[in-house]
Amino acid sequence: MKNFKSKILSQKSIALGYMEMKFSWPEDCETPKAGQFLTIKIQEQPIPLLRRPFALSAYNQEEKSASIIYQVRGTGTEILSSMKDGETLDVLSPLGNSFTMPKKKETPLLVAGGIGLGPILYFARELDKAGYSPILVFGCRDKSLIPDLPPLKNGRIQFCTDDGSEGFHGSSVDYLNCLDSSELKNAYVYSCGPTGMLKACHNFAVSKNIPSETAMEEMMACGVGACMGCVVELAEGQEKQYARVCKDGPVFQSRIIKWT
Amino acid sequence: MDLSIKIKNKTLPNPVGVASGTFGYGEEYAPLTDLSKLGAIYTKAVTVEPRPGNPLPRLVETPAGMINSIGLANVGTKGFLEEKIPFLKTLSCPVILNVAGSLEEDYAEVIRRVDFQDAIWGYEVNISCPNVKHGGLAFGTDPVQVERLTSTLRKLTDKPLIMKLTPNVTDITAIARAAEAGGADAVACINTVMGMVVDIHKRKPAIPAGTGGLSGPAIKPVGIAAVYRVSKAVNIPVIGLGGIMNADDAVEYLLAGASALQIGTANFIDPDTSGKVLAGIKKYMREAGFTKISDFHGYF
Ligand SMILES: Cc1cc2nc3c(=O)[nH]c(=O)nc-3n(C[C@H](O)[C@H](O)[C@H](O)COP(=O)(O)OP(=O)(O)OC[C@H]3O[C@@H](n4cnc5c(N)ncnc54)[C@H](O)[C@@H]3O)c2cc1C
Ligand SMILES: Cc1cc2nc3c(=O)[nH]c(=O)nc-3n(C[C@H](O)[C@H](O)[C@H](O)COP(=O)(O)O)c2cc1C
Ligand code: FES
Repeated sequence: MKNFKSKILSQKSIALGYMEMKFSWPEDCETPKAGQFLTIKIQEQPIPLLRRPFALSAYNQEEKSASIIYQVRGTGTEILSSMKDGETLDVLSPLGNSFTMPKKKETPLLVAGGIGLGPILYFARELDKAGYSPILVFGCRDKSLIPDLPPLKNGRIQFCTDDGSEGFHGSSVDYLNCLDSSELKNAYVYSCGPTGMLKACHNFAVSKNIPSETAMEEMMACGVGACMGCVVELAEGQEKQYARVCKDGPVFQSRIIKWT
Repeated sequence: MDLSIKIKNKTLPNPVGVASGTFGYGEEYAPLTDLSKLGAIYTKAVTVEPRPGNPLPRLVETPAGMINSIGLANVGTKGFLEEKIPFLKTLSCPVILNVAGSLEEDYAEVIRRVDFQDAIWGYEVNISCPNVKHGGLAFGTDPVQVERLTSTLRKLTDKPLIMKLTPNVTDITAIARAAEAGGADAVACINTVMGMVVDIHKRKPAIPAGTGGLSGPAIKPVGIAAVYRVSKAVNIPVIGLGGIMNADDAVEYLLAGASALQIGTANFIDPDTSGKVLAGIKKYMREAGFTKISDFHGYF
């Protein structure tokens, strides 16, 4: 973990309201893993005050660069989206834990919704490189929200739209339910996105008796585990009632989360 | 240049500490700032029993500030001694234990159980947490209770005893005088200011508890006013905090009467704020020809 200054290398829109930003990564900073995140100090002025958290969506060892995919939602991300190549970012990273590599024989089912795409994409590419055949399922409202993504080598990317304007007509969990049992036999579910989707992925995994991990999101202040602000509630039977998303997560076994 | 501050029989090496609840128990920030340069670490509050804390969400951002409703989530006294003290023992800066409770006896119990630890430099008694139902704030708003609690705790320890005051009162100077009368060695002002945000889309408070504690730049003028008034009302050192983001803010507090300072919310935005504030105070002192912290005082 390091607090460093980074140069913006490029920024582009990848779907309606979604940006991808690439920036330099310092030589002396550890390699971020899929699932880990960073926080960016938006500006010197105290509005908005807090740093903004984003998941890493890519890391390039040769180029010493990393990327995030983000949605323009409010003041902070608006300012971020107006920043130009060459401008300086104040970054604190890598933070949090990461997804666990599945066992060799398992088929990774990676489910992303909205801003959950970043960490899922990073992990899908890692798994693809490592010789797995990941299936990345990305669900959204309609085709305007579908990003332009280079294909995976061994695995595949499946888009799902609520209105059927592109790809599978239905939610990403509807799609999972259509997979045949041979694909599900040794599957491992990984999810990141809106809470409703995460819960549905968890329920799906439980019903098929397959393991499942989920990357959570909560409002953060410190991002390093000091303030106890970003907690999620854990299921009954766990040793603790709450866990910190920034330090104990953001990735959790979905069965330890209390889904309400 | 003498930056040290004497409180009771002990000395803080410099005026810039980090505030309770914003720095954990030190360990989390070790990779990000030089802990040995801190004037003091004020730990997250410790209560007798572990506390899970309040339901979520616990945080909401406000204009130039944030509201928290953590609810004193902490590992409890046993957990503190087992899990946190080993790391704190390795530090060269003073470690000040922030103590919280619901009853007078709870505060006393924490101090009784940890006082033998040499790693603890002194205590900051949190009589001002707005985020728990019982005790906390209830103590800090009544001068009679403040004096009684202070004198009870005074008998239990020879270490410095700092009472941390709430701004959520009619007259903070009356509370400060009560703490002094009870035997406090210093007072710290301020804890968070009660605040609330309403989520207009969900048509309910943004945090389940309704109100929470406002911190950050938004409360700096409240903190400065408290320090200004309290430092004129008592003869013990006043530790100032609330919205300090940089050296200029810190100098404002020192000129208003603070002898030492704490950096809170600013740690979240820049984990090395304390280092930068200390460097800035030194620069200001050099330029103003000040040789010691007390040179700041008495300008108005
Ligand atoms: C671990 C983690 C990873 C994330 N990864 C991504 C990502 O890869 N891509 C992406 O687009 N978004 C991601 N987010 C969400 C992102 O942090 C928010 O969209 C962003 O902070 C909004 O800031 P704003 O100023 O534009 O919006 P605001 O108008 O300030 O807020 C809009 C909403 O964003 C959320 N938000 C605001 N501040 C914070 C904060 N400090 N911490 C958490 N949430 C906040 C709140 O839900 C708020 O209601 C992630 C959040 C977390 C906790
Ligand atoms: C997340 C958070 C947790 C806090 N927890 C405590 C606590 O346990 N004990 C305490 O005395 N003060 C606590 N405080 C109050 C701070 O120590 C400080 O008094 C207040 O935040 C004002 O300073 P600031 O504006 O610099 O943050 C907490 C503040 C925040 C933001
Ligand atoms: S954001 Fe502070 S503990 Fe997670």
